[in-house]
Amino acid sequence: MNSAPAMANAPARLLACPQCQGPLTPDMLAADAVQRCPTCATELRIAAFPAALRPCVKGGFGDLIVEDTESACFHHAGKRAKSACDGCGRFLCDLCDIRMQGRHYCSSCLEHAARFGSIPELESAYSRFDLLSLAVACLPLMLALPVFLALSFIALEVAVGAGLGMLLFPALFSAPIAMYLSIAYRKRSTGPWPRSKATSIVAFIIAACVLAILVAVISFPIYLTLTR
Amino acid sequence: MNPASAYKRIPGRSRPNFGLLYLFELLFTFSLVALGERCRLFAGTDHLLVLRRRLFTETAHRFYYADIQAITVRRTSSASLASLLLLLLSATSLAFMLIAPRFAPFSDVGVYLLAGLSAGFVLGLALNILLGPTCITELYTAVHHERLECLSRWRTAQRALAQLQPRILAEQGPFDPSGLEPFAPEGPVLAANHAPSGGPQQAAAPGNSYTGGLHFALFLLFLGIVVSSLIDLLGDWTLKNAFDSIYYSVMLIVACVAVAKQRHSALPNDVRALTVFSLVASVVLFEGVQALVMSRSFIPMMNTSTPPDIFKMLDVAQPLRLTTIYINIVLFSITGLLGLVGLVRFRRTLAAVRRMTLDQEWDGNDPAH
Repeated sequence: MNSAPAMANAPARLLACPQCQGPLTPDMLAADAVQRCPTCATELRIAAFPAALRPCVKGGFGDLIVEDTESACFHHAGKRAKSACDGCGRFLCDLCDIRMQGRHYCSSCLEHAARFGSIPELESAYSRFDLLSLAVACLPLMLALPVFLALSFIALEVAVGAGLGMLLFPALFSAPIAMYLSIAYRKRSTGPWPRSKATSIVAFIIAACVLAILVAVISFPIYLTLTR
Repeated sequence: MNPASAYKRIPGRSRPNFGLLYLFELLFTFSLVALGERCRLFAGTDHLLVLRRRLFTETAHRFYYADIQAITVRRTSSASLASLLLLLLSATSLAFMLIAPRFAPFSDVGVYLLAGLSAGFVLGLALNILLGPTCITELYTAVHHERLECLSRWRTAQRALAQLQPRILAEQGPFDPSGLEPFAPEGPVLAANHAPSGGPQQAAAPGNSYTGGLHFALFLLFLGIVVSSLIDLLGDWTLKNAFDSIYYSVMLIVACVAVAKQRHSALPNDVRALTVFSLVASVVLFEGVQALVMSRSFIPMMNTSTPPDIFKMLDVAQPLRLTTIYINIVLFSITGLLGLVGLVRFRRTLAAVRRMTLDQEWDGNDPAH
C-alpha cells in the first residue's frame, strides 16, 4: 500500500497515464475500453468512478464553548462536545469524533478495538492454523524427499533406508502436533470470507498416514520377534 | 445471514492456479510460502476485500465501493520476456544435452537431468503462453493507491473488472466524464487511432527528450557479438578472446547507461524491457557459463602437474564453450534485431508526429485561417 499525498487531486491523476504520466484525454476515460496511451503506447484501461470527482470532505476542528452550560469535550476542555463515544461514553468534539459504520468512537476506543478485535470491521489479521498443521504434517516428507532423491543416484536400497529414516524420526513429533492443530483449531475463526475445511482434513490425513507407517515400522520387528 | 456467504470470490490470485503447482504447494507449504505474499480478492456487499497471506498470517484490507476512485489496468511485456527467456533456456539445455556427450564422457543421469530440465522449461513456457499477457492493476482511493498483485494477467484483470465495476457504479451512480474537462491537459494530445501505427504518438516526451541513441548503439553491439560468436565457431584465438573481453565490458557499460537513461523517457515498453532483459541475461547467463568454464577448467588443474594433463582437462570445457557461443548467437541476435526494429519504428513514428505538430502550428499561424 502506498500513501500518496498527491492523490487529493484525483481528476488530474486520472488524466495521466499510469505508466509514463503522459497526458490522457477525458474522452479516453469516457470510453471505458482498452486504449493506448498517446505518449508511450501502453495498452491500458482506466475504470473511473464518480468518487474521483467528489471533493474531499474536510473534518471539523470543533467549536469553542460559548456558554458555561455547554458540555465540553473530554480531551479538549475548551471545545464543545458534539457526540458521545459509543465505546466508553466520553463526550467528543468534532476533532476527536471518529465516525465508523454510523457509530461514534474516540481514538483510544478505536485503537483498543483494533488491537483486541472487538469491532469486526477493524479486525484485519488472522492466523491460518490449517496451513500450519499442513506444514507440520508435511515436514517429514520435505526432509525425506531430497535425501531420497540425492541418494537414489548412488543406490536405491540406501536411498529407501535413509529416506524412511528421515521420514519417520521427525514424524514421531510432527504427526501428533499436526493432528492436534487440525483438531483443536478446526473451529477457530479465519475471517468472514468463505473458507473450506479441506486443508485441515488433508493435514490430518497426511499426519495419520505418516503415524500409521511409523507404528507399522516400529511394531513389525516386535511382532516378528514375538511370533518366533 | 452467514457472513461468509456475503463474499463472492473475484477471479485472480497471485500464484499460478495450476494443478501440479497447487499439489506441489500443498506438499511443500514451508518452502513456497516463504517466496512471498499471496493475494486474493473477495467482493462483499459494500466493500472489496483484498486478502494477503504471508506464511501463516492473513491480512485483510477493505476498500469500500463508495471510496474507490479508479481502477487502472496497464499491459506489461513481462509475459513475452518470460516466454523469450524460457524458450532460450529450453533451447540451450536441449542443445547442451545433444552437444556435450560428443566432447566429454557424460553419464546417463546427466542426460536425464538435462532432459528433465528442458521439459520443465517447455512446460513453463506452455503455461506462460496459456495464462496470456501480463498487466499491472492498481486501485485508487482518495488517500492511497493499492497494487493488486493477484490481477497480474490481462484476461483475469478484465474479468475481475467486469465483476467489480457494476458493484461500484451501483454504489456511486453513473460516471460523468465531462467533470474531467476542466482538468484536461492543454495543447494537442493525439489520440492513438489518429496517429501513425505503433510506437509513441506524441511529439514531446514528458520530462525527457531522449530518443534512444544509446539503445541504438547497444543493439548494434549485440549484433556485433553475434558476428564474434560465429567467428568463435571456427576456432579459438587468444588475441580474439582478449578483444572479446574488452568488447563485452564496453557492452555491459553501455547497457547499464542505457537502462539508466531510459527511465522517464518515451521509449516504447518493449525496447525498455529488451534492454533490461538483455543486461540481466548477459550478466547471468554469459558470466555464469564463463564462471562454470573456469571452475571446470581450473579445479582439476590444482591436482595435475604436467602441461599435457592440464590441456586434457581443458577439453572438458569445450562443450561449455560451445554452449556459451550458442547462447550468445541466440540471445543477442533475437534481442539485437527486435530492439533495432522497435527503435526504428519508434523514431519513424516520432518523426511523423513531429511533422504533424509542425503542420498544426503552421496552420495555426496561417493568416488565411
